[in-house]
Amino acid sequence: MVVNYPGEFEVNGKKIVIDEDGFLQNPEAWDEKVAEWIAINIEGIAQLTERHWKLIRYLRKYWETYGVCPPIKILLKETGETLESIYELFPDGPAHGACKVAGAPKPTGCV
Amino acid sequence: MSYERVFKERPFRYGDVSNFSHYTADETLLNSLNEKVGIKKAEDKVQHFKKRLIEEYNNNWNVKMAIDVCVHCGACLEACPTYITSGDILNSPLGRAEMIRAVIKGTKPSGKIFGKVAGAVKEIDESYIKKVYTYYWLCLLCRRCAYVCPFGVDQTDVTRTVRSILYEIGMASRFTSLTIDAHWKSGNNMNLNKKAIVPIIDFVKNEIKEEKGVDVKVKIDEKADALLLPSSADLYMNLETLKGYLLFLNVYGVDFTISTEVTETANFGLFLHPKHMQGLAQKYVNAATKLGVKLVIAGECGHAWRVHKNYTMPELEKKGIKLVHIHHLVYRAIKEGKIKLDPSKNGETVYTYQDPCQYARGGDLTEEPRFIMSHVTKKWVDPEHRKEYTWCCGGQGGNLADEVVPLATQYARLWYEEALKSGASWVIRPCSICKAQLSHVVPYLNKMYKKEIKYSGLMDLVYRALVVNDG
Repeated sequence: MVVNYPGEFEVNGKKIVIDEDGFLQNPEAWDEKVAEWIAINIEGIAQLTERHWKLIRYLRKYWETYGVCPPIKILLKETGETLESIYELFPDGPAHGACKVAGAPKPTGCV
Repeated sequence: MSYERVFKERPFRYGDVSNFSHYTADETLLNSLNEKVGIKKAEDKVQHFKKRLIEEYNNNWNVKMAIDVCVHCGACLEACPTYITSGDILNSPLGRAEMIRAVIKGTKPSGKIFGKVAGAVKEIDESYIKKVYTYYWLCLLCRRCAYVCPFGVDQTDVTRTVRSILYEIGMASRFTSLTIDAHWKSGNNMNLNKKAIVPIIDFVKNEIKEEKGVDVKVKIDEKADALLLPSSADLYMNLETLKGYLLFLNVYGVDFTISTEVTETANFGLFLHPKHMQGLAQKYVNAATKLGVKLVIAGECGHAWRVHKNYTMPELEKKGIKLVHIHHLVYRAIKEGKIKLDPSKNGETVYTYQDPCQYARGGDLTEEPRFIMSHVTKKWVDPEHRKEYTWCCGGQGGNLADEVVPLATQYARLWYEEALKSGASWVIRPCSICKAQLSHVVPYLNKMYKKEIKYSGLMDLVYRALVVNDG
């Protein structure tokens, strides 16, 4: 754990706002450098591998298209991962971990 | 890692859980909520808090009862999951009531003269209110205390009243506020718009086709006989529950539609302020009227059922529209012999049915799910504490917030241990809050107890057991 949040940070010249739960509050500022920064500084993932990136890119594209993260079952089907393997990659799981790195805002409701 | 961080920064300490104060909504979020219901934030926090409390005490019979008739017998302490698991007296029905009783007493002659001796506080300040905020949001609103109180005091009515006053002075739980804001703006808790909803429904229809060999018909925003209100979480976390609704309604021959204006059944307004609850309930009434339906079908969600039964249903009935729970329809279909179920499809697993609080305590929905359980499983067991004595999942009343997960994990130990005691390995809790809470805490509990408890909704089992003619 490197940073304390909520707060504002600068990543590669961009201002990002992180909320109480560690989610990006200005999702338009997201890029792959920001993803790396969130992974390291908030999720404690030292190194993003190609498998991480496959999930992150899929989630990002889905979020940009539909405005929400995909249902977990769709995510598993489309990426060929299992729920367990996602937890291995992102210890906080798909909604609280992977979607966070992909720059989606915190999901609300019964999740 | 946010969960790891929460467990580290907010360790659970038996006897003092004051470190689990919910995060509060910021100014922008509060303004957005206030605009929806025409509330203006009170300027003087302390004065408004006192004034409104006295107003409620004088006009709200439940609040007056709670303040006046309690004899401190302690029955509620033994019944309250928050107190049993946390051991913090302020985190109990009695403790919560006392904080408020002291303020009211402070305005009465005895309190004014004798102060603390008479259990009164003469002056309160913002730090006192902050303490009230902390403990009032840690209440699960499960109503278990109300069923054991010899005087019939329902402390959760006081909890809701106090939370609404706190909201009026700008103190509201961030998680609940964000969820209500999403519901107002998008028609559901999860911000799902039509563009997101349609492909999810298509995905689910394809799975049903692959698994059951049938094409199910699902109308979206079209006129129909019935309006289905799934929980928005059913389109995200609980797709198996959703599949249960869709397949069952098709097999039973119900002409139904989903509305993208209300792809939801929840109503977090119950946890915050009656004006939000009523405003959000009105959305359901409006959508049903607009689509010209005769029937509204509520999906699996406990607190939603409570609001529907007490508020949405009477409002709909004024317009000649009926409201039932999906379990009522399944019950009826089995009784009429209209559907065929094969319990062996749910395997040899021993299931247990644990009532969601709001189905059992005042929701009058305890027999139908049990009847269904007997038709969709080969073996299931009733827990020791069932129906009105059911244990809360530990995440209700706004306590799905991430910042309280270490405490909510403790709250959950009661139902978890009961599941272990009953010899079951699969817990059925047909409620979206239960399912979400279980997704947070079961991984921790399984590790803690070295067991492998699984869980799901009830319609998930109906889905698997349903025998389809051509499939």
